[in-house]
Amino acid sequence: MGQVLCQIDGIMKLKSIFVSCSLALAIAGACHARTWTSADGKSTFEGDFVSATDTKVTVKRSNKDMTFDISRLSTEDQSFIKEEVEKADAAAKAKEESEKLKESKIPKALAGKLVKLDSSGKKYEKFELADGIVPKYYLVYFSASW
Amino acid sequence: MEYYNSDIAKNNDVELIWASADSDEGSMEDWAKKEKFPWPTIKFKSARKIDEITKLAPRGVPGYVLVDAEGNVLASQAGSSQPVKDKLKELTKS
Repeated sequence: MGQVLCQIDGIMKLKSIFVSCSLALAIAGACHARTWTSADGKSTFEGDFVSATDTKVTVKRSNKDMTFDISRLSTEDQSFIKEEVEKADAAAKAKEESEKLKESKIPKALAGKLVKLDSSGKKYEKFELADGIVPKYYLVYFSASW
Repeated sequence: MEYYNSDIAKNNDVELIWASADSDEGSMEDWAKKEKFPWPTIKFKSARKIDEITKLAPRGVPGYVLVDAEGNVLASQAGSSQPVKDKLKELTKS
């Protein structure tokens, strides 16, 4: 997963990568294991954030999910959990809106009819709005080489 | 291009779609490749066949039209992109 985040090779791929990362963040919470600290600051452990409710957090440690009270963690970890939950909620909301937008007139009219230059800038390849977050607005640019 | 990279490429709420008015595919592609256009482009053979898009074309090129996902025109101008940029800024400010 870390490789996905680290292999951004140009602005042309940013949107689709954003979608991948949003989903990845929603699922795993972070790309690398986090060091968690107990509320009293005396002990730490490594693990990946999985999910959280208002009072409980689930962390994956050595491929095993552990669920415990958020209050057992440091203030910093509690803030981190809150941010991760907000990110996951935002990603889920964006995905839901995107699904609805797919059925709108402009995205439907453009489906299967778009291309985009590849990263070399020399070859056109198929492009689908539906592969990323479907936009709310479209700036249609009419122009010609002459 | 600079505007696209700074204001559109990273904005998930909007995408620029290029509708070429070139009369042949070669001219369209040569220009795009020379300038390394980063935006989605309507296939040459489809460019004049998508009613939802062709009906938006302002009189004259370059032309800029901002629409929502249902095709409602929010701003349109031939010759200058400023009105469209201003409207987009207003819509996407947060």
